[in-house]
Amino acid sequence: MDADVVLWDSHPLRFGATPAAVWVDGIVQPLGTEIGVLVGKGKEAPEWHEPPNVPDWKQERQNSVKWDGLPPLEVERVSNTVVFANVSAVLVRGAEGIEHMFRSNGVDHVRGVVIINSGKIICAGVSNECNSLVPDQARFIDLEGGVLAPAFISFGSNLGLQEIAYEPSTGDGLPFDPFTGDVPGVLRDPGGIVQAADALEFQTRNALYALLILRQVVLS
Amino acid sequence: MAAATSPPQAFFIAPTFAGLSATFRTGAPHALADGAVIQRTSALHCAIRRPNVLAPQKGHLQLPSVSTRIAVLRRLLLGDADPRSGETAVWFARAADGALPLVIDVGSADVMAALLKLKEEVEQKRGTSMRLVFSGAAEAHLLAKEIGR
Repeated sequence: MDADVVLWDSHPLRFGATPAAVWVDGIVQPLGTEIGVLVGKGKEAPEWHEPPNVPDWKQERQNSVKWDGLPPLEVERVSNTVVFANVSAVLVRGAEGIEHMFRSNGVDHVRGVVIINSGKIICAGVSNECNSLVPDQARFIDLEGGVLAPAFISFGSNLGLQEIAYEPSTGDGLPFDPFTGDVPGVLRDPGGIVQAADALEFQTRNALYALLILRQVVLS
Repeated sequence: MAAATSPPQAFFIAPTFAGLSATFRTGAPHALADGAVIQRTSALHCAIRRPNVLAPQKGHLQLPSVSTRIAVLRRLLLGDADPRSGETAVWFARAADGALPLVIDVGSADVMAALLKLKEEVEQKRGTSMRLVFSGAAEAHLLAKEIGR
């Protein structure tokens, strides 16, 4: 009988979980400890041995029923006040690049509050500074020690042109390459140049499905 | 992430020769929404990689050599923008004039050096200043000074 065993240094679903020992067919396998892979170090706290928190997906389940399996994928836009609590740092665009607007003290881990109104930061600091600016109907989000930062711009990926790699039915498809085949004459352009703007995909529901399927496979 | 600049691309085979990237908001519901497409044409992209022995060959056709690709680039960048010779000629003329950035996916320092020579040649002959960008550029450190010039 096949008996493969992995001994983890922490709960296997925790980010950073590392195998401490692996047996394949009863034989201990060599691990990467000699090339500097740290096993067990810094994972002494009890939470490392508990499963990570799993969201209950209640809202998602309700939406799925409400919309007959096709809930809208639009990004939620909030115009009134949002309060982020438990923030460890805020990064903003400054005159000379990205700057820290606020950063929690590394020693006693005092975390800050950030108040955003109409998409603009109106206050950021440790707990008491911003209290007077919090309106009654504000939305609270616990960042659990997270960081607020300016959004990235992705460059050069297949984002917006292919929802699932290897799955042609979810993307733009392959353009003609004038070096390896004839570009159709009807294009009247031997170079066959194309514009990504003509094939942009938004919301990308198939990408979401791919992620859900992947998550199911990983968790089952 | 709020936005993305994506060029047309081909997967797992030598990338397509040329395409125009677009910059768009990833959170937009559809292309006609306000601000969904930030820039319709952000840059002209092409790729010059050495033929990969593992890349599938399309039929009997060989993947083009580096020198073939650079020769075509030279012809397009020095050619005129006569629309009768196709859209490709028009966009490459705009790149040669510096009106549109030309992004070249390239890894080898030798190819990058050849492309810098080509840029100089085009700028001298046309009296323009091109906006040339190397993407990928794994060996760029070998030519950092020359690229920075």
